[in-house]
Amino acid sequence: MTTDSSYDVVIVGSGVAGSLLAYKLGTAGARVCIIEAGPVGGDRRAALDRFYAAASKTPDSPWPKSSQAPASAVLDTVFQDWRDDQKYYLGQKGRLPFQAMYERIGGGTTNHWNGIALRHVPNDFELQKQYGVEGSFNWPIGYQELEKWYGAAETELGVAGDHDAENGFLGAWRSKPFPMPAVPSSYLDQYVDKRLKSVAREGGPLAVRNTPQARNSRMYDDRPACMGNSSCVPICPIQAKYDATVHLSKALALPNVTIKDRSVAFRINVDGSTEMISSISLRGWDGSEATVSAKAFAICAHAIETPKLLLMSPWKTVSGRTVSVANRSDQVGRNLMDHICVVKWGLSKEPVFPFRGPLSTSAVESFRDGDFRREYAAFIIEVGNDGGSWPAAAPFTTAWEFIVEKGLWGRRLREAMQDHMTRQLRINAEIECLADPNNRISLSSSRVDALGLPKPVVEFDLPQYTKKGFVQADKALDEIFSSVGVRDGYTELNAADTQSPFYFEVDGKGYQYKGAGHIVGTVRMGDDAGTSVVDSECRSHDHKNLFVVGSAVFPSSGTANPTLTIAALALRTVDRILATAK
Amino acid sequence: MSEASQPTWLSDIRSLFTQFDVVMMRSYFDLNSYDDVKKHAEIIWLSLQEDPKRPGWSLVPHVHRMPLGRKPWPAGDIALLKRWMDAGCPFGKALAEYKQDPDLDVFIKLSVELTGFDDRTRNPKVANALLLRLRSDPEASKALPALLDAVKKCADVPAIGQLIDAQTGAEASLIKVIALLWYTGAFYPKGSRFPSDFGTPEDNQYRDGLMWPAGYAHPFGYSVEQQYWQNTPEPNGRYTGLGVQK
Repeated sequence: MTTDSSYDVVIVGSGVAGSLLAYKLGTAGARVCIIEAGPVGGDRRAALDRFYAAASKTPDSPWPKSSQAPASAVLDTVFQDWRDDQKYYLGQKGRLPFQAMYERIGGGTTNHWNGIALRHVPNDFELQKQYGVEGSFNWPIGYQELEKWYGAAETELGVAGDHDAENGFLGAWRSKPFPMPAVPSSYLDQYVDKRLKSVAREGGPLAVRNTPQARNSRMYDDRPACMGNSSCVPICPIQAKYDATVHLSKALALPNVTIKDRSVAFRINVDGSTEMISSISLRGWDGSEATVSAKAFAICAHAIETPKLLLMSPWKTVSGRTVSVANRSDQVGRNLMDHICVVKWGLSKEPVFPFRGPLSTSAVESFRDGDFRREYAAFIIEVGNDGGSWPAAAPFTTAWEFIVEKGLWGRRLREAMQDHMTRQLRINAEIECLADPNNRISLSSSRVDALGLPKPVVEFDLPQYTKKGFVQADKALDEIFSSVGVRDGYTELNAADTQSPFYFEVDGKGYQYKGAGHIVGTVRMGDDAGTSVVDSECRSHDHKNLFVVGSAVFPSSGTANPTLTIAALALRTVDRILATAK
Repeated sequence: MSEASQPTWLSDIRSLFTQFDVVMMRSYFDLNSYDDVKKHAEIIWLSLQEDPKRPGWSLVPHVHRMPLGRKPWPAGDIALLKRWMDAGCPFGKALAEYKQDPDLDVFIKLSVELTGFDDRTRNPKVANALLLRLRSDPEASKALPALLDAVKKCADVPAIGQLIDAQTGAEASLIKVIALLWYTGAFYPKGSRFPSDFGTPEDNQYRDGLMWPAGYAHPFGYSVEQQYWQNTPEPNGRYTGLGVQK
């Protein structure tokens, strides 16, 4: 075992939080060591080749896999064997599956994210205070505090958006414009918007709004403008979409930032006399072990690997019970959340020309906040530019349907494909998930990965509040389809499958959900050390030189995709870490 | 790659060009193509130089610099390209010799009828690659010779149509396999609506799938236009992401 003690800060994970921190801390002169479980610096061209050749073009399809740094993938939960913990990395022990998907490689899951860069709206930070939702948990900071960091994050990531349209929407005021004009809304967005606006509705017609996204609408930060490759998830061929390798590369170009890749952090070590963190132990893919010490530590490994690492790190024994690092509150691993999705697709009456442009350029945001949150969860409705690709693997299945099932060939086949592909329309709602302490990550007592480290166990069920929101979202999608003129006969494809692992019922009616892969919660932030793990500065209540930065600290999910908030929190934490590492 | 080892197309050179470079330079040469890069290596190398006074620099028409609008390549990458050129532009492994299938013309005749596309199915390189994949597939290869023989005997185009309609059993299944291969670039397992085999990345038959132009779209991960998605596609390919088809 070697010991390396030449650092001010050790960061675990090189996703958006870890890479931004490394770059900013490094620029400020700190000596930084990043520990990354997976490989760093892969060949984008080779990744693209893997995507082209992949049978299932899933979010993980281009990215390297390893048994030393395994992760959960989208297909792990879709089959009847989803509880098979010998087959899949996550041992699913809950009533319903948690559809997690993430990458353990340099740049983390931003390698396959969609680039949607929404801010939380002010009331997302205080669900309990504003709406009195039972079981909800307010953030110890509000929109007012985070606003300037949102602006800074938009500049760092390169977010394209319409400042005037966004400024003040649902109370989310803005102090500075986006660094780039908005990515244009698709023809499909314009079509849906026009149809929705033509339908009278109590409370006013629904509107389709352009979505701010970390995707270049012009040359920015030495990356080209988006070319609409329609493969944002899982790979942007030209890096017009931001991913954290942008900041990881900048950080590693600094002489005082270094990385230990293919190295899995497996224990956080505590100095018994001061209760400060003294070092982190890591195991290389070759089995060798090392310890890295520093003055401050930041764990940036999202909401599954972060609690896993904390739970793997014994701190002290209290009344015969081992308490793990930062877990005096017994909240580590609890309150796991995702955005729960209801997805629908069908055929519009007229061509809308999907399969073109970024996967989504607009959304219906009317349900992101309002008094209804006293009763049911908020949701955002994404308008997809990708036809039936996500819900039904179109157009591969479309070709199969016409050629194999219907026996078409020749000009009739070509015309049928044209007619069908140009009218496919997908919308989906992403529903707020209420924190529930029983939805949690823990360690397996029997299963280990190739490095001998325990695999995670997940327990998950849909909270009632979220189920109620799901029912409303389902109705809203039907209303939109009806207004837009989606052919009724096709909506049968969206009927809930009673055999699906994702099937559930509300008041005798069946529904089926998908996961968004927005893994949040498990190390929540709060002012009370008894009910939260980190304080409002993302600092452990228990160890003053330990920070957790990333989606793990979210006390609630809101409806915004988490990445911009992760980036804002990371930028806000830089000065606190620097002061601690002095 | 160490300084001493010899750079090759497969392991070192092709990944130097981003898709953005490919698109920006597509009027002059195809940076995805080994043959094209080898043929135009000198001019590509010149286009990477920053010194406009360098002899030969102005030979690159219109776009005098690559990558367009971005930071220059690192000096090491330009030197790598030059070392590759000086070494004779090695491919990296023995290039499979282009072997034209003796029944290629017959296969194209069948494909034109079967797919409803004339222009694209007449591309001999793509058609030959698909035919070779069918030849090497244990199941498809069984019924293929008889089907091609039957097409040979067809006196005219309507006769091919009648032949397609008349097939039963293994030949009828094979016809569907061929149509699926043309439309998606993939083989599907029997009874599955999901593809399982897109061939090798070098073949890139996924990108040649006919479903994309049929649906006024482009393959996921491959577009040559910017900001096109806000417009209605045109039958000539404009605003599909594929660009205007020549």
